[in-house]
Amino acid sequence: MYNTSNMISLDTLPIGVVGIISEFSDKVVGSRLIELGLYPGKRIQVVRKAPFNGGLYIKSDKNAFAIGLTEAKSVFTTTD
Amino acid sequence: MTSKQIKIALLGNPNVGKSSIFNQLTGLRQKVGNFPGVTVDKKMGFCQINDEISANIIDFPGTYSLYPTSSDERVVLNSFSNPSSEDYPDYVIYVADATNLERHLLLLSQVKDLHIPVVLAINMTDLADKQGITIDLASIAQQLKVDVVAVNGRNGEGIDKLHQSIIELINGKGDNTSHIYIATSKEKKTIDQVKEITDQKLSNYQALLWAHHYNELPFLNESQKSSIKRITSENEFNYMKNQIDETLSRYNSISPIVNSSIKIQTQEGDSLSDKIDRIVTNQFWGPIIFITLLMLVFQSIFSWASVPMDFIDESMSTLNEFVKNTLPSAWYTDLITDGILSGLGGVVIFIPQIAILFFLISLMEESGYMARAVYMFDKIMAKFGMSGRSIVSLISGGACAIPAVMAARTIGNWKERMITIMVTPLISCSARIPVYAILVAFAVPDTPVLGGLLNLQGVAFMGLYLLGIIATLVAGIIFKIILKADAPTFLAMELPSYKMPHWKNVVLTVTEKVKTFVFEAGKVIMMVSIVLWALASYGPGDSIEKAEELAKTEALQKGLNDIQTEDYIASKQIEASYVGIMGKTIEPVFTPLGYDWKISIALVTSFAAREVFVGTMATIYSIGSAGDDIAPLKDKLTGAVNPATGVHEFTPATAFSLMVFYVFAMQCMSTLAVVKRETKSWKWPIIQFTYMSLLAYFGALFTYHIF
Repeated sequence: MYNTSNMISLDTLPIGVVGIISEFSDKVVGSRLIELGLYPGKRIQVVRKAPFNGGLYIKSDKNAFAIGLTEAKSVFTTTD
Repeated sequence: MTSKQIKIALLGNPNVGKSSIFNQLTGLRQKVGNFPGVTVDKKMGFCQINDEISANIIDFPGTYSLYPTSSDERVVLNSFSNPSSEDYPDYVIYVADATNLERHLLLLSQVKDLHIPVVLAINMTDLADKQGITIDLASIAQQLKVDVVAVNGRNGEGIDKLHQSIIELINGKGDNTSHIYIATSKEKKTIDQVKEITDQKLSNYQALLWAHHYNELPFLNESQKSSIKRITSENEFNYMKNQIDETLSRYNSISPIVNSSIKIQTQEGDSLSDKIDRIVTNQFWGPIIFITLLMLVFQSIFSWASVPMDFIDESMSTLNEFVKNTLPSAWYTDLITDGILSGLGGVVIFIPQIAILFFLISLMEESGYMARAVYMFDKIMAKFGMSGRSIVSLISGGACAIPAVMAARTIGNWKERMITIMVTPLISCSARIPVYAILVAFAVPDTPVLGGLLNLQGVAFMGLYLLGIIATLVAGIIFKIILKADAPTFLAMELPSYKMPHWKNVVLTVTEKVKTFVFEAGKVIMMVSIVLWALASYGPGDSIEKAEELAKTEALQKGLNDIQTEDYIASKQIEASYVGIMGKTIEPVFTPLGYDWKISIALVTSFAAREVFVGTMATIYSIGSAGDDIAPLKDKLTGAVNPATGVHEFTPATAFSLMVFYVFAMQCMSTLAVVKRETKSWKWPIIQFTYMSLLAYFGALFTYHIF
C-alpha cells in the first residue's frame, strides 16, 4: 500500500519537507495522534525543533502540534 | 408539562472554548465539586432553559475520545459508560471547533453511538469566517442526524438557539438508534455477551467500552471484571488494534461529511499564529521570552502583591485593636482577637497572591501561550518527573507555595501533577526570608568577597536558595522513580491558535480559585491557628498566672522599666504555656541538631508559618516589643549564655543547622491545607510533611556536625 523504501521516522524528516504519515510503531502514541487527527495518509511537516533537544513543532492541515522527540521516532512517514 | 430538572453534560475536545459556553449558559450560578474517586474538579452550573425546565450542567474535562490517557479523560469515560452513574447525563451539549471540525467530530460520533441525546454546538464560527471557512450546518445536521447550532462563547450568540434545541431533544426529537461505527462480528459477539453480565440497559457502544476498559472502570465489581476478561479472551479481543481500527473507521464516516459540508477558501501565506510562533517558539528567543514572562509573574506575586497584603495586614491589626479596646478584657476577647481574627487574617493575606497569579496564568492558558511553554520545556522537566507547566509552579513557589501548588491544577497527567505539588514547597518562599535574615546576620560575617562585588552574607543567602532548588529537583527524580503512573507520559499535543483571552473566563477563574482557597483550605488554616493560639496562651492549671506573678517580682528586683517588664512577662508566660511544655518535651529530639528548648518552642509555633520563628524567638528572649527589627534579637542571641554551663546557647553551628532545617522543613500549615484540598485526601500532605521533616532533620544534623 505504501512505498516502504522511502519510509523514514518523523524525527529524521527534514524541516520543511512534507511527509505522509504511513504507520506507528508505538500504539499508545499512535492512537493519541489518530485522535488528534493525525492518521495514516495525512500530510505532515516539521516546522522547527524545540530548544534543548526537545520535541518537534509539527503542522498538518494548518493545525499545529507538539510531538516529543522519542514519540516522533515511532511515527513513520513517506515522502513523495 | 410540569416543571422538570434535567442533567446536561457539556463535552468537547480541549481548547474548544467549552468554558466560555459553560459561562454563557450558567453565568455566576456555578460551583465546584468532585468526581468520585479522583482528584479532578467537577464544575457544575445551573441553567433555566424555559419556565418549566431547569438544568444542572456539568462541564466535563476536555477530552479527545473515550479511550482515556489521563485522569481527566478517565472521568468522562467513567461517567458516560455507566448509566447508573450520578453524573450520567440525560442530554449532551457537544461543543466542536469550526476551524477543525473533522477531529472534533470523532468524540461526537462516539457519544452518538452511546445513544445519549446530543446537540452539536459549533463554536468559533467567527474565527472560521476569518480563515475563509464556510460551514453548511444543515448538511452536517442531516448527514450526522444531529441538531446543529452555531454558537459564539465570546458574545453569547446562539445560546438561545441552544436552549431551543435542548427543548426539542426533551420532546423526543433526535435520533438515538443509528450507529456511526459498525462493530465487527467478533466485537458484536463480545458486546452481546457483555450485556448479559449486567442488569443495566447498555447501548452496544457502552458494552464495547466495558470490553475495552473493564480493568479501569471503578463501578464494575470483581466478578463482572473477570467475566469480561473471559469474554474478551474467548473472542480474541485485540485491544489496541480494535481501538485504532474503530477510530479510523469513524474518520472514514466523518471525513466525507466534513468535506461535503465545508468550503475552504485557501489562504496563501502564514497565519498570525504562525508568525507569532516563529518568534515565541524560536530555539533562541523562545526560552528567553518565557523566562522573562516568568520573572514578571514572580515579580508580581513577590513584590506587587505586597501592597494589598500590607493593606490587609494593617486593616486586620486595626480591627484587632478595635475589638480589644471595645470588648472587656476576658478570655473570649483573646479568642476573638488573637485566635479567630488573626487566623482569618492568615487566610485573607494570601488572596492577593492567588488572585494575581491566577490572573496571569489564565491569560497564558486562554491565549494559547501555555501550550508553547509545555512544548519548549517538557523535555527538561520530564527528567525531574514533571511537565512543562510545572515551571510556573516552581517559579511561583519562590514567592509562596500556596498559589504555586494550586497552579499545578492545569497539569493533566496525574503523576506529573503530584510530583509538582510534592516538591514545590522545597523552593525557598518569601516566608523563609526573615528566618534566613536573622540566622545569616548572626552566623555569617559581613565580609566583601570577589573584590566587593558580593558579600559573604549575600553568598550565604544564595547558597540557601540554591540548596532549595537542588532539593526540589532531586526530590522530583526520586518521586519519579517511586510514584506509579496512572497513564503513560508522552508529549503529543495540539498547539491551539492564539486567541485574545476572554475577560469573563479570566475573572471567573480568579474568583473560583480565591473562593476554593478561602472556603476549603481556609477552614483548616483557621482551625490550626486557633489551636496554636490556645496552646501558646494557656498552660496547665494556673501556671500562666503563677509565671506572670513570678516574672513581675523578678522584674522589680532587676529594676526593669515598663517595656522590659512586659517583654519579660511575655517570655515567662510562653515558657509556662502548653507550647512551652511541648518545646521542653521535644527538646531531646532536637538536641543533636544543636537546639535547646527555646528553639524547640519556636519550631512548634512556626508551624503556623515560618516567619513566626523570628517573633517567637524575640518573645522568648524577652525582646518581643522590638517588632520587625532584627538587630536586638541578633545581639541577644550573641550574648545568650547557658546559666548552668556557661556555654553559648546559640552558636554559628546552631544557626547553620537551623538554616538548613528551614530550607527543607514543611513548616507551613497553610501549604499543607492547600495540598490536602488539591489532592482531596490527607494522605499526600502527611507524606509531604514526613519526607520534608526527615530531610530537614537529617540535613540539619549533618550541618551541625560539620560546623
